[in-house]
Amino acid sequence: MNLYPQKINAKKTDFIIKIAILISFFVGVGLVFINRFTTPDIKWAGYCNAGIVYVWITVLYALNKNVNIASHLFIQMVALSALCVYFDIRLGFQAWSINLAIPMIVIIINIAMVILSIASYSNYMRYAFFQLLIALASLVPIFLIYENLVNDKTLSIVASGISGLNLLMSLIFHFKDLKEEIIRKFHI
Amino acid sequence: MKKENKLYWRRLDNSAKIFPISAGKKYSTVFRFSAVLKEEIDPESLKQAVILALKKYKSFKVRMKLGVFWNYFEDNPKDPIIEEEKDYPCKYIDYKRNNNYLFKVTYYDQKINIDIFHSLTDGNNGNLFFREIIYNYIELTHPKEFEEELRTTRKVEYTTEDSYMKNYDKSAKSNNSSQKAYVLKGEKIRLAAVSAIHEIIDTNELKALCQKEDCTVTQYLSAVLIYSIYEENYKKNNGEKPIKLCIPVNLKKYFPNSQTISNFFSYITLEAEMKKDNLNTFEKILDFVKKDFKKRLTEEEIIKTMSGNVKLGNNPFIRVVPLFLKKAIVRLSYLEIRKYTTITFSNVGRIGIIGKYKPYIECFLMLIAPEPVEKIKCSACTFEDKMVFTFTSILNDNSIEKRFYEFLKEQGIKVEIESNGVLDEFISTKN
Repeated sequence: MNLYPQKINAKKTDFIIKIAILISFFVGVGLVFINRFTTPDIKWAGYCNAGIVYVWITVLYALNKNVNIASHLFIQMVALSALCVYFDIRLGFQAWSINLAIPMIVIIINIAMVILSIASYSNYMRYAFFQLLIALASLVPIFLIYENLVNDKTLSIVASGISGLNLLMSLIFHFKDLKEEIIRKFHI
Repeated sequence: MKKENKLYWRRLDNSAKIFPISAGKKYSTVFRFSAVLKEEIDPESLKQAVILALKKYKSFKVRMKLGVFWNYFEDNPKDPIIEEEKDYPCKYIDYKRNNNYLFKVTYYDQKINIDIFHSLTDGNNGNLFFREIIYNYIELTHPKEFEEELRTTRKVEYTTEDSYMKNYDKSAKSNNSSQKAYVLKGEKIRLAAVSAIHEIIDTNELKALCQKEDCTVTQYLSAVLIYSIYEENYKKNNGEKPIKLCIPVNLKKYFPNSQTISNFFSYITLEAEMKKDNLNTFEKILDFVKKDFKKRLTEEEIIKTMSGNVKLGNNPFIRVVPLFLKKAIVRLSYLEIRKYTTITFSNVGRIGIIGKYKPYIECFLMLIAPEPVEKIKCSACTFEDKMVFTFTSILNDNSIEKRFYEFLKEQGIKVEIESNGVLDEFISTKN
């Protein structure tokens, strides 16, 4: 009987990913040294490393097949916002991240969710949990307004309005799905 | 009225809850059934066979989702992935790379495998689903011979109820032993390889021997296993703690009304105090095994074990702990929890196949994933007059397997060896 394959392969993909992450790590460290020795006044290596981390977050996530689109949108929302805040702080904090970038991201993601919930009405159940998470994360502009951290409130108000509208639409058209999702996720 | 696109979901049964919390690459909690057919496998027909089987056994067409307090199953709309076998058996099922399925069907040459994550079901129920795949495959690859069967459907009846919750005894007191077990010593195989050694035993000869010894086949093989561990690992490492042999028990035998397709098993644990009870010969060990089986394999004892575990999973304080915390706590304590068993031996018994399909099948195999603490796991299944006793191991030493084989040969039983080649050089294949 010939029961097993003669050559059993290791998980090549995992190995390649690990090697690539290791190379990225050394590239990142190398960039810090190059930055120190060539242009120490401009801290550009930090931006590059933040970019590398961001790319890996998205690449690793995308590598997992069968990504739920809504979950991907949520991850992008959180990761992009964090990246913008980081850049803003490193550039001397001119608050463009909270005045412009975060509200813009909230608007784009919520519009995408509206389109997604319309386009895939019958599959909405699969996105319901991430819809709730996005709605929760979309409260950030309201929080920023409330804490008086925003200079130009227009965009934040628009973002809050759109996310509120998105949530309202979801509650009207998918209330049962959202309710069942909450029961499912919180069952004891 | 039910919404058409409403997603089916169900809770995990009481025993299944622990597996997704504790499982990982090192503790895969996966078991495998393989069927060796008499022809080379056709992947397209195999895929069709699995899809057809899933139409009947919808409870397998699920994916695992995270709740806040527990995991749960949800309907999986995707088709399963069928691949050629490449990896070691019973490896962790990365369901994100498996179209979210909690079982994985692979094939190699004339063999069909199904690796099943234990959360989904137990060995006995997993075998029902596997047999359905095999029936479908044989019908699809021999349409002329199975013209009638292709037109009609075999009836299957099952439920997804949690039979533990339905049948446990609230007043039963736990009978769990507090004493830790002897843990097999030795270096592990490098690069996360798993050795699989199949000892193909002539059942007629084995049964005759068991009749002579006045014991069951499971009792006899348990005794040979304890004896092999004692001679090859325990004595050499001057073991002190008892050799504890865990034997899963199909609870449907005790609760025949249960038609669940989910997990419904318990276990008995034989505790062989090698030094204290002077168990230094096979005869003494066999005598001990027979007595311990008689003591532990009673309805009362099995209900006690089952009820103890149900009560633990049903504890209100445990239930309200968020899932991520449960996971962290269980994973931290799992190495310690596992130290209460030396080895597991699961005998699923005879695989019943409808007569017309038998000529197409050579034999069946069953394998269980070994773990860092339980470095060897044993399983057995019988088809026609062949019992395949399988050792799956991460121990870089096959002396226990070899002793087991040699002992049976010494008793005049015909045994053949097949393996995946990981530890081949140590074992003789000559009969």
